[in-house]
Amino acid sequence: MIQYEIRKNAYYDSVTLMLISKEIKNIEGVGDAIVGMGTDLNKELTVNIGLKHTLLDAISPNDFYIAAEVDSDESMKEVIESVERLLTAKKTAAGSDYRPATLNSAVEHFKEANLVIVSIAGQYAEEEVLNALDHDLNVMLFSDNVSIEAELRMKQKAVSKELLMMGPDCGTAIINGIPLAFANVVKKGPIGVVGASGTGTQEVTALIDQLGSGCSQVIGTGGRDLKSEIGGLMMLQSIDALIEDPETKVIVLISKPPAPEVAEKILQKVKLTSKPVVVDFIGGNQETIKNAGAYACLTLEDTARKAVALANGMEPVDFIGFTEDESVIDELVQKSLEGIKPTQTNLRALYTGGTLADEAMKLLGNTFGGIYSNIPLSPEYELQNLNNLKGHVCLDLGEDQFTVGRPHPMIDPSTRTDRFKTDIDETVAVVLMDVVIGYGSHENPALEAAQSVNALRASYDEKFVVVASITGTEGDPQILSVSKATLEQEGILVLPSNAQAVRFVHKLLTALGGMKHA
Amino acid sequence: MEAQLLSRDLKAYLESCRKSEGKIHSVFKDALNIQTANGELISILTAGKDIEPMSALISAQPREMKGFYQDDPVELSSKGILFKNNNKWLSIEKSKVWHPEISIQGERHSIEAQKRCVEDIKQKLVEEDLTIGLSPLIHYLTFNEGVQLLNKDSPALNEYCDFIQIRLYQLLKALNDRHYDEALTLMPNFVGFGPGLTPSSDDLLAGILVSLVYEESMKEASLREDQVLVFSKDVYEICVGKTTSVSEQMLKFASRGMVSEGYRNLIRSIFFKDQVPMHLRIETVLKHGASSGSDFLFGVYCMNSIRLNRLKPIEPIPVKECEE
Repeated sequence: MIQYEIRKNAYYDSVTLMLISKEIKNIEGVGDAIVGMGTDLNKELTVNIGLKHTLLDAISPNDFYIAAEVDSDESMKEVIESVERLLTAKKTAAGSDYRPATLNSAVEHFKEANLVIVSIAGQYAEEEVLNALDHDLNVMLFSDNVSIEAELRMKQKAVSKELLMMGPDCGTAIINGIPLAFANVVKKGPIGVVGASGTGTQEVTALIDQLGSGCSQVIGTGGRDLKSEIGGLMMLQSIDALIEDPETKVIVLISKPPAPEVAEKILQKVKLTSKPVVVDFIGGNQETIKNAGAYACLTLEDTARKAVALANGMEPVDFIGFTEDESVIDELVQKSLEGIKPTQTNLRALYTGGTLADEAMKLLGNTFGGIYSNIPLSPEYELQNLNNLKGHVCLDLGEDQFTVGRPHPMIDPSTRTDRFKTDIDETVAVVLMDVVIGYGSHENPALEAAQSVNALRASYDEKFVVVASITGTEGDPQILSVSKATLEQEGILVLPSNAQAVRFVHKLLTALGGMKHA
Repeated sequence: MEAQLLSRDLKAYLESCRKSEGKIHSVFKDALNIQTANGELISILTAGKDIEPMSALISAQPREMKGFYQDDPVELSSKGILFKNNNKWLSIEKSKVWHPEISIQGERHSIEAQKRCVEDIKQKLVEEDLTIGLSPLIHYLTFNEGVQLLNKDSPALNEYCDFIQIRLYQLLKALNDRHYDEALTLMPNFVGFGPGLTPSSDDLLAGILVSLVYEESMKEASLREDQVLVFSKDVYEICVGKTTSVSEQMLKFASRGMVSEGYRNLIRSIFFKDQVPMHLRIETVLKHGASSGSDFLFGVYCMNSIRLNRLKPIEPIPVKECEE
């Protein structure tokens, strides 16, 4: 039945009524729906989409109306309540605070601010950042597509003024306990982190929280900071800041392997402090780190565990196994593979976090004949055709080729949902994925992932094993334990870290290899 | 409350009042509208908003705008506005005056520079990758050889774009061909479309109208086309009753080339050299409403693309070879 709610002479802020239309269509019992002002053309569209009603004639251009196809009065009631809730939420989200139109007026009105987050098209970012630095503001630059020359200029200026310029493409920071952009709710504690990797930093800080410790500061540097052109300017600046910070007792550095001369500069600085320093140059040279008196790490989880051990006054040891007893893990491996056919031999790893994908490929190594990827460890394993996958594959769905015209998969999981449909075929035995929760992420990535797996299982004859890890904490809006339960309800095996999930997959593939040759 | 800045037309209106009655028409988080006895809408805007025709910019922050409700009575006079229910007084005595009229003073841009500005608008709209409003249609229209509507199906369009695209194409084609009478006949099928308080098609139309009026105003008197300004005026007449009151007022002013300061700065940036970079002008406009800014920009882009592509390059004069 078609029902209307009409509000005569009703005026609302420029809320995104089109998006509200879409959202109310998701209510159970609602078919098509439209909200808007009663102009002739809006009414014409209403008729066109099949929502004609005699009440339409009574609506004037200055009236607000909701038209919906519903299966009951209760559904319509829910529609009206939802619209009311969404309109109120949009007002609340927009806030009644003054929203300055320019940085200069913002500075004028918020004199106590000392940090600005810049998120505009990359080619215009430098001007705004330099302006912010001129105003003695620290900067978190979320924008990407910023030239490396501009990055150098911005960081040189920041360093000269003893300010932070985190970025470009910096998506993760926790400053004075406040999560910024993509970040998790992490307890305050004695570990200061400097990261040139977004999800790498999230994985480490979330695990630090899970292990009962916390972070003093989490500073992002942007992914190119440790390239030779930039020379590690922000990492060096941040290390200095953490050395000076009385709340920081242990320092953690996370990055992909730096340019050799940059690594040397950083490790020289590390030598100068008496605070213990844990260094994860993901996959980089461990000996040079140890020679500098720092603690080298094998994985992101190992980094977190070593940092927490040091914070607790204990000697750190390498963590290369599982939190569960190995016998339990082996039993789980065998049980998981029951029903898997000998023709199913392949892995599909679908990641939203690039560093986690990178760690997965490094841990799996070449044991299984190489892993094809859009971010391959070596050029011969670069995927030529993303629509025709063969062999073992690990995709970083946050890379540009997947995010043209759509949000990052951490925000919009539909990219991975779509890849589930195309990438899993009858040769696949194991699916591996990350689920990143926290601020900035989708409101319920675990549910989205679980629903995708459910849909896949419904349409697929073969059994396959799904393994996941969750990057997040109990304090996150999505709640770690709730997210874990959601995944497990769908039969997804959840391991406590990306490293453990990958080791588990390693065991699965090894067992499959044994089955194939049996 | 004090008005810091007063639009000249509002100042003139209030100064002509002895005491006249009105009522609050609509209340928003950072603005309110007053409807006068003769149906005019006056906007009271809080700090940080963009001043526009028939408006006053006051010093209050949005959080101070409490206690105002739709239909509350107001009294208008030459000294200010009294809100009778909560006894709040808005004084206009110390306000500076803002002139809403078209401004064509300044160092003019070359045609190439104008084209670059228009291209900047297109690039920004494409970058924004909006899914609301009508600006997603930017992917479906080209102007290099007249107006063309591309036959494609991605990116996917929202239902509003789907519905209006042919009508928009027909309107733009008529404008391109300078068939203003035809464009007028198309108006009833275009105006008042979209979910917002100022429907998307009206914001787009405002962008078209302002661009047209500016183009005409920049021409030497002998080259002006009367029919363009008549068209603009007639468009407004057709819109009356077909859209919301707020949008009607917007179109009334747009048909005379009068828009908010941010919008005007953008238009001027196309025609004149500007110290402020174009991208900042664009970003200021984009902040308007949910899609009002982007729809306005889209209209500006369409109309300026049409007029700039109509301008032919100057042909070199052929030189005859001398005969021996």
